[in-house]
Amino acid sequence: MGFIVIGIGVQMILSSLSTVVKTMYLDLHH
Amino acid sequence: MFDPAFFITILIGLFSLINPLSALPIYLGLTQDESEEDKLRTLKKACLYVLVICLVSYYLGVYLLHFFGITIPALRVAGGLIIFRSGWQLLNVQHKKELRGNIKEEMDKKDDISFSPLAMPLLAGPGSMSFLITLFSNRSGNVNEAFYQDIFAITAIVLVIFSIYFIFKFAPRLMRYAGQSGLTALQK
Repeated sequence: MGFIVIGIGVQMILSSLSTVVKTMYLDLHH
Repeated sequence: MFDPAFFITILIGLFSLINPLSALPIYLGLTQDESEEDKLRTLKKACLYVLVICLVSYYLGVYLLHFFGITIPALRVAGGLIIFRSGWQLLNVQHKKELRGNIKEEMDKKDDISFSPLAMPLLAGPGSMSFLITLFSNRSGNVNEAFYQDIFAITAIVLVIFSIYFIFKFAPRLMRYAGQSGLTALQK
């Protein structure tokens, strides 16, 4: 159970970070 | 448009975050002097509170955050950290004991445990709330798909609450079969 919970947490952080980085990249290049 | 994988993801995610098994020893410890009727009443009230907390954070969480100007990516990072922390605690037993000590102290001062500490930090904690808020914010723009997602989410919430009810109701029997160490193993 602990692994599932850690997985959900890490996935939430990574998916939002990837969105932020993508937005920043698009802002820089357009 | 039934996507079993999506439904199971929500169900298992929510069940692991609410984790009725981790609140079980505390519930048993706190209600040991109560009669069967009082225990059942506390349990029913706690289940109702968890349902309300889950539904409110699912439907209104996003708007509440919007009101305070907190963006969804910020919530996801913060919620992710909290969820990561609770998962980490689940795997490391030492920290859990400190938490239990604090809750026991708080419990001694109170008569009714159904809302706090049972429903609020133990069952529906910050982890499950941020999980539900993120789920709502990821909802599809398509009305039809959003409707299905709402149904999945509400069904998952109700199923988890039923599992809380049955696990807590048959807890003494479960405890007899599995023992404290078996219960700790189940929690992981």
